[in-house]
Amino acid sequence: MSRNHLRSPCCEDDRKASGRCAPRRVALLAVGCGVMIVALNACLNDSQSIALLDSSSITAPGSRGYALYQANCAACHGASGRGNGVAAIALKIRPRDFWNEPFRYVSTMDGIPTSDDLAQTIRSGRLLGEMPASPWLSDEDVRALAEYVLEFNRLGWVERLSGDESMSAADVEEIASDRVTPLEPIVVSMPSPDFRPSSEVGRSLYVQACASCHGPSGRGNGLNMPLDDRGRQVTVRDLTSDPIRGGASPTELFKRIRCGVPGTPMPAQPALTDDQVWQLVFYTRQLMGRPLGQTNP
Amino acid sequence: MLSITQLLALLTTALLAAAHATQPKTNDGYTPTTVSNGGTIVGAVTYDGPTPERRPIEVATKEEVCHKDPIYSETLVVSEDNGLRWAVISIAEINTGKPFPDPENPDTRPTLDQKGCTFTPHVVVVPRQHPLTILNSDGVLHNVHTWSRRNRAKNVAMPGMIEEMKLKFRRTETIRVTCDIHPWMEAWIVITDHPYNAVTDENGAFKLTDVPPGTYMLRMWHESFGPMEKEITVRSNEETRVEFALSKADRLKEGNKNGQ
Ligand code: HEC
Ligand code: HEC
Repeated sequence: MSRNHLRSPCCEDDRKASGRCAPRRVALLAVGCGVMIVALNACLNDSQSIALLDSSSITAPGSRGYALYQANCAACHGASGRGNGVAAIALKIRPRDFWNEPFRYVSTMDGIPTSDDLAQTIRSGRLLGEMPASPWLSDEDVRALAEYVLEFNRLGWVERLSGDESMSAADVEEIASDRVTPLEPIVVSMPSPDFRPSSEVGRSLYVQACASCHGPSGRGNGLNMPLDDRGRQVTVRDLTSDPIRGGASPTELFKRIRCGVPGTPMPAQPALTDDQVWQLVFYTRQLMGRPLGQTNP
Repeated sequence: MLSITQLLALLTTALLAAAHATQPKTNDGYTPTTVSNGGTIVGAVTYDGPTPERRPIEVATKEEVCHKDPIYSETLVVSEDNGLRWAVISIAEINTGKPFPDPENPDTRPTLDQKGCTFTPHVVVVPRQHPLTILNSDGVLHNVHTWSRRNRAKNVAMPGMIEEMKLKFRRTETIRVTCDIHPWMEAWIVITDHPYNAVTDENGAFKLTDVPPGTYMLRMWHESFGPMEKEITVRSNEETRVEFALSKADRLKEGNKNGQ
């Protein structure tokens, strides 16, 4: 069945009304109903991106990830992964547009998630991000979904780079693959034996490396008009009261502080030592009002 | 269910991805030799058209170092004689010639400093796979946030106590760099695959030395104008003069956000 064939009936009106095509009726029916979702998919995209989706064995209908994704994820992330599913409107936090946004919760220094990073988001959901956990999925299902959403991201690069005349089709393919191939994840090792968490040391590191953005007392009020990579306003996390979306465990905080939050102003910190990052982890927990015990970092 | 072809395609993608991860492109397209009888390309880039009045940017921060000297936009800097600063001049394609500058020598290594809450210089040229030295002379927190397409994105913090850091880029590209903490800060990193590049000075002048004799396309790029090319011929031990004269019609309508 051709996707183009299904395109016109459901989206012309919406497109005129909003400039963007996301018909509610169809989409509501779509949850749990594969065929209707294909129809929605067709509505949301111009023929070029449909061609891209069909060209990939990972996102083409019939792949393992396809059915799982349409059933569990499309309602929020959109049938074709552009973050514009029906339920997205009701969410305080935008579901990720897999084509155009980087992933944020990573354990690598180049901002590209490993399959494990994605699996962790998919399995346990994202706090406050309103992304639900999916404990019923098997490990293979989670892997298939991780691969599936990463493929959207690769196709996003193919789409953007194709507009550049100075690049051959082979260059586009090569660079797009490169931009979704992560470096080795960082090693989160235990602090050194003589490490002692210290509010003073933590505070002084915080002042030097974080306060310009998170504010002197962690209230997230350091920056004037912070923007994400797409030029939309973001809020610097208020460390004293906002939930930590990527997870507040010491290990997750270590990764966020070391690797940064790609796509947002929050930078990676390659120059700090492991012990300095651990001091910051302890200090962040202190700001959160949930200090960690001395024995259990 | 996956068909055999789909499986094969999947496998190939996986294998290709793995290959890419382990074999970054190097400068192997260029072979350094000794150039004994090279010629010189000299010239200037000029702009004859309206320029915005140059007045200091309002700097919204309490940090003292950001107020030591007035800060100006470097987007369009034109001298009294119409010389255009910060234009990049490169030979479009050249496979052999003089060696690259020593990346370890503090006098010649490509360097981007964060000083007085500006990036200096505003335009820096770096051969791909060579280290770019990033300095922080300010002693306050900056972040180096690159807006690359061909190269992987980088957003790295440079806290005040860190004085030096190195970055490397794998592919040729002209990349905009910003700092989220000081949003007026902006620079361009030009990643090249040969050493025949120059950035115009405050008079719009440039010079390329030790160019092997031959006919080349000479490329000019400036963030407010986009690229322009001219065919030139270089003769042994001679000077070739080239002028790029720009006018209002050549201005980009909107600012350049990615360096193509
Ligand atoms: C109820 C809506 C909802 C559903 C259903 C949902 N998500 Fe999400 N998802 C979100 C939101 C909201 C975010 C953004 C979270 C944030 O920014 O912290 C997100 C983020 C993500 C991310 C990005 C993580 C990162 O590192 O940036 C991935 C990957 C993801 N979702 C995959 C999935 C997959 C796979 C499914 C289906 C199994 C799914 N989501 C189902 C709402 C949803
Ligand atoms: C250039 C500005 C900037 C700097 C410097 C910075 N942050 Fe952030 N930080 C942000 C922004 C913006 C966010 C919100 C990102 C988002 O929208 O997901 C954030 C988010 C966070 C989060 C929450 C991540 C999550 O999982 O939800 C933590 C924790 C954090 N920062 C800690 C730190 C620490 C500790 C430092 C110093 C080492 C630091 N930040 C430095 C801007 C900054």
